[in-house]
Amino acid sequence: MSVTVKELAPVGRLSVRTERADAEGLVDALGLELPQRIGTRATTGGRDALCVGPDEWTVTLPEVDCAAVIAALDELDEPACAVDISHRETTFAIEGPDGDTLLSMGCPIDVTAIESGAGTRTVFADVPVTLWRDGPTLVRMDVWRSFAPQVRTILEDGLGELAAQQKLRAA
Amino acid sequence: MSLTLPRTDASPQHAGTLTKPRAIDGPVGGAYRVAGEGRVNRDRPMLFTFDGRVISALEGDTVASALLASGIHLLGRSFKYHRPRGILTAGSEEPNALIGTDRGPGRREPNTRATVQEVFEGLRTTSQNRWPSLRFDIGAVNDLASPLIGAGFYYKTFMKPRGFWDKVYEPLIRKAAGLGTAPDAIDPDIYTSRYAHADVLVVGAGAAGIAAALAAGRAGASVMLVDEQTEIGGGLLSDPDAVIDGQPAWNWLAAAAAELDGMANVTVLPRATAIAYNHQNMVAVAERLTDHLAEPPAGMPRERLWRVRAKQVVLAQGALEKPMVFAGNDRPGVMLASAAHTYLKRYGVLVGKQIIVASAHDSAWATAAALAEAGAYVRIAEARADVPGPVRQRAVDAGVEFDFSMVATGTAGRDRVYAAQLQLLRDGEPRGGDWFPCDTVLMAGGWTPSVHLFSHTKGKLRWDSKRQAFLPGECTEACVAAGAGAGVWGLDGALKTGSEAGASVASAAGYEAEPAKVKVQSNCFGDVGSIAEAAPGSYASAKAFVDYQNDVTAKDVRQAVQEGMRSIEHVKRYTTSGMATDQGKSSNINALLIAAEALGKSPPEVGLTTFRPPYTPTTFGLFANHHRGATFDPERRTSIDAWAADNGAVFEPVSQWRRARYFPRSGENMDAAVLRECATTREACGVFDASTLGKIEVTGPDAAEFLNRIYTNPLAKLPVGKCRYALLLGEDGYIRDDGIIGRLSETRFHVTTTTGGAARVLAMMEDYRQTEFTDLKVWLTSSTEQWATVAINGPKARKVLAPLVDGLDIAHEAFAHMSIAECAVAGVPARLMRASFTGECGFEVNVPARHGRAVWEAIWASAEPHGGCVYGTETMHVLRAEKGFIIVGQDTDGTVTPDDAGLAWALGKKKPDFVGKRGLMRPDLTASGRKQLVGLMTEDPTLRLPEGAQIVRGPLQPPPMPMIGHVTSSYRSAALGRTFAMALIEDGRSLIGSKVELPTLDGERQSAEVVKPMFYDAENARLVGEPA
Amino acid sequence: MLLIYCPYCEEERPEAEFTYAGQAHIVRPGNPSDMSDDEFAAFLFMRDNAKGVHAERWRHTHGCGRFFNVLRDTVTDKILMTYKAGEPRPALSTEAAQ
Repeated sequence: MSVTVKELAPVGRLSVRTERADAEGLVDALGLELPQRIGTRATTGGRDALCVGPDEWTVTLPEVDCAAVIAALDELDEPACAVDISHRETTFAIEGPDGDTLLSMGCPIDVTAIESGAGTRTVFADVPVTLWRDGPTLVRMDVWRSFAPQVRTILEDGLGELAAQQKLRAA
Repeated sequence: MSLTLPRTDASPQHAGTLTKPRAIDGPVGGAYRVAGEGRVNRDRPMLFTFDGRVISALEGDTVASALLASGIHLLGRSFKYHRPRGILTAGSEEPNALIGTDRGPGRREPNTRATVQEVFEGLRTTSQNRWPSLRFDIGAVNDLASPLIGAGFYYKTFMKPRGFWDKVYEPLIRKAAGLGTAPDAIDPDIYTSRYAHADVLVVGAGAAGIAAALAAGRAGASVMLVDEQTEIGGGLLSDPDAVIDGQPAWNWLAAAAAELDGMANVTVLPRATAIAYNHQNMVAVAERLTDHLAEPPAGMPRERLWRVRAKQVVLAQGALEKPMVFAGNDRPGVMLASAAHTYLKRYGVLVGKQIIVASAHDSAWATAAALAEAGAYVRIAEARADVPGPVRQRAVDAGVEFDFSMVATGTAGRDRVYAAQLQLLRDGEPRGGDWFPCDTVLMAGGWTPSVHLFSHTKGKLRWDSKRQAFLPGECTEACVAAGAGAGVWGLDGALKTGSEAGASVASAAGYEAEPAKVKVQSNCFGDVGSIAEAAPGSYASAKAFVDYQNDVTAKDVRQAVQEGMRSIEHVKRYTTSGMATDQGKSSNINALLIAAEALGKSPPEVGLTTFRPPYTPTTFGLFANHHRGATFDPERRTSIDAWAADNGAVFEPVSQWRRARYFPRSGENMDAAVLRECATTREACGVFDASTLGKIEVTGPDAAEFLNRIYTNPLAKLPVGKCRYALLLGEDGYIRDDGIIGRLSETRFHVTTTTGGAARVLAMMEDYRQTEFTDLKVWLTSSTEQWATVAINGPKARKVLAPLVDGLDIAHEAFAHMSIAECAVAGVPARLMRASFTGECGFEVNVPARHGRAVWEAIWASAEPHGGCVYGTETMHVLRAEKGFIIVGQDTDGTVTPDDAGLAWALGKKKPDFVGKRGLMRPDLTASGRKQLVGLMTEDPTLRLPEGAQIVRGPLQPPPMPMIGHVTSSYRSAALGRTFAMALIEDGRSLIGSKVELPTLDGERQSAEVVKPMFYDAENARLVGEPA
Repeated sequence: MLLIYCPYCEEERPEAEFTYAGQAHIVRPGNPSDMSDDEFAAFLFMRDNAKGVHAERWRHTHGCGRFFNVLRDTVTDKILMTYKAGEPRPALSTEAAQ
């Protein structure tokens, strides 16, 4: 079976809010330029920003950098702020050619239509998730920590189904 | 003419296993198997059982085809009259041949259609609805009483006497009614689902569907082709003699299947029924994955629900043949002509040796010829005065006898038909005639296009009087109908309209597409004619059935009209015609024609009943999917939950969360554990996991003003480092939620909500933020799961916590009650609040969730030497109630104002506006007589009132007495040494000091005194706590 | 299950990502305390029960999080148009109305 599911190590994660993504000083404070269209991402030097709403971004970064970024945003003239959500979520990496099939067991959107280097918020098996496509066969899925067991079980059931199907095809 | 019928069935035996198969009678594959016919695999014989009898079958058989191959026509008893019934059709529309299947523990399924269930080695099947046996059934007495059990019988009969319903009628009806028996064990199978997205979905893989999929697939569109049968082909599977593009039909079919298989953009799903057509081309497809397998691999789901979102849909569902309505048209051995054709050509089974064909359609003539060619004696009674020459010629060549203007009007036989009455039509009325011996009667009443899915879209149907059928009219969705389902007759038309439909939808989806040109040289249905050529007769006595599954006769339909039913919807409900699991696939049009005739109206004036999803019976498992067992609904757990489980907690569900309710020590029940936890917390300290509380981080320059408008309390000037208890109302003035708001900086607040209210409160705040208070720069972030929250309460709370805190002096004076600060606890960055939901000195430690358990363990290690305890939600409830603190949703019910709850002090009366301020001024909310929250002390201090108990003024009056309120919270208190309660009572505060009464369910009464809802430490002296 | 065009994400998304949020264009008055009981009751309780085109609010809860407005035909359950919160109710072209 050509898909694996792996829970990734914790990472720093901030919810960044501002009405002006191009505000002065923002790039310096964040260490990257915020992408302006919902669903698009900007990636620089270990930091990755996904635009999830008109005034909302999710930024991943080394956990140790979170406090400094929060403080730097608080100093800006144009209001912007960051909230630490590093512990709110956990991330599953779904990797392999059957990854999109596995995701189709819970995602009502066409996940194949998410381009590499893009992302989106959506639901998986009724649970709110954020998808980040890092490559044609690699998708990261962020899930609130208390929903992770439900999502993990459904993903594992899906892996079992794909394995059984392969066995059936071989027989 | 002599008549010798083969032995049709043996005496039923109890279902056995096939571990040691006994010898079977007759040849492998059954005595009625015809050499050289069918697609069944003669090299793969298999055995299964029917009522314990071992039946020989071939790979590719359905249960129905295998039973027919063994000469078995009697399959079950009917629903109402318990009449013997056989096999009517060869498809999923089957109303009669319902069987039970057994695939092991928990895998017993009732009402499986024998015409759909594929045979596999070892399959166990049983007949249904008979007792003690299929041949001898006691319920058949209903058949004799049938004149008494006509239309509306249940409505009329079981009305009086009223008291009879529970004791007599219902048990009797339940025993007698129903089809099959429900399984008695939990379904061990897995059900799964997928979403799919396609340019084109083609429903039905007959000639039209295949042509459509080929045209769209060749154009490059992504295509899904779904079909309910085991392989694609539809009617072609029963028409090997057709010639397409110079090839035999099955060669053409194999080539088409291979081409579809070879296209990466095409997915073909057999055993997949499109069950529902929903909005914007979302079609639900039920795929059966293991019901045909003797040994499915472990982990393989039984069924898969596909939710297909297609840009374009081609409906190529084909058409279903109509039965004819005449007396005894339900006897085993009476079936559709098309079914006999399919059993012969697809399964290689001859359904009988002496066959009468009651025909109103050309297609029956080809069937008659094929049956005669296979060795049967065949006689056609053709209702029409003539048929086209070429149609007649082939029958003549095959030796078929026939009469024109002749109809079947009756059959004889018990468990199998042995004779049919044929009468000549004169002036439209059957006259004279004779009985003809036979073992099979075939009915060819014309064809009904399958418009079910089209109807799901609320698309308009139009009546085609020539074809006597409803056809797809105006579409509401992006879909096209093709082939027989669109009223197009014949293979040529199916291929042509299918290909055109495929090309047109592919073009609509943005591809360049061309319909293919296919030439049909010959096919069994002939090249001429239409879907229906003559109205089927309804020469009806009481036993002329319209709806086989619900035992509705032509007479019932006429009676319904006579008794005043004017619309087909009323006729349907009165007679139950079309309301069985087959949804009237074979009966709706006949019922309509009979009702229309009785009403003297045209069919479209009477109307067609609405087809509703699912198209065919569907398992609950498919719909439930992963929503069962462990994944029924997410069970959310805190980062401290595992510690609680390790330490013997008893849990309770609170919204989606699992929360520790209490921590019993050995020998303790809940009462004992809670009394101990309460006492320990008030005497020393208690540690509590409060992580599930909703948390929202409110940020931005206008955060304070935003909260000031949202909550009732004055918050604009809340100093940094301070907390406030706050109330949230709806615009109607009623309490929606409460929590604590802490100010971390000028632009950052930590807001808590109730556990169950977290998502709702955030959504409500977002609504105001985005659409009402758009002048404010403020943002909201859910931080519930960012933080694990540990509450420490009790006089020794500070002693427990102080050694763990870095960067903050938590002395009473330095860190006053209702303060918030950032510091480190047990080496982890924390947001520390001083707040109390118990009345004791209290702290709430918020740490990033992944550190939750470590910090909890550190706090517990510090608390234990001080004689502390851990406690759960039950103790939390008692301790807060002793202080009169409310739980929103328990002491409030959505109609309680702050004043009702005694919380008027929390209203910022000087604020010009807040959400709910105007609502509080509504006349109803300021009137006297509102229910107010008060305390109750029972006369008997050991008596705990039930929550929800109704309250009346004493002394007890005869019923009905006015109820003035109810108990909202009720507990035993360790601190008070007695029970106490809170209640909402009309003008409750004015009753303080007086007595009320609470009638109990056993007719007794309890008496209680109304008191202030503050039971412990009214001066709040205990909030100070001991110094560290 | 509907497909709904989110005017902020600028794409059609499945209904599962959205939450219904009641009738649109009911504006909370600047100072509700100045309203008479009748005016306030009309604001709080009275809603249209349109047979036909209905202006209503939806929230892209599991997407961009935004509230926005929808014109939906309550007879056919078809969404005719979506537009951002705060924008006036647009006139329907005859084409969209059909």
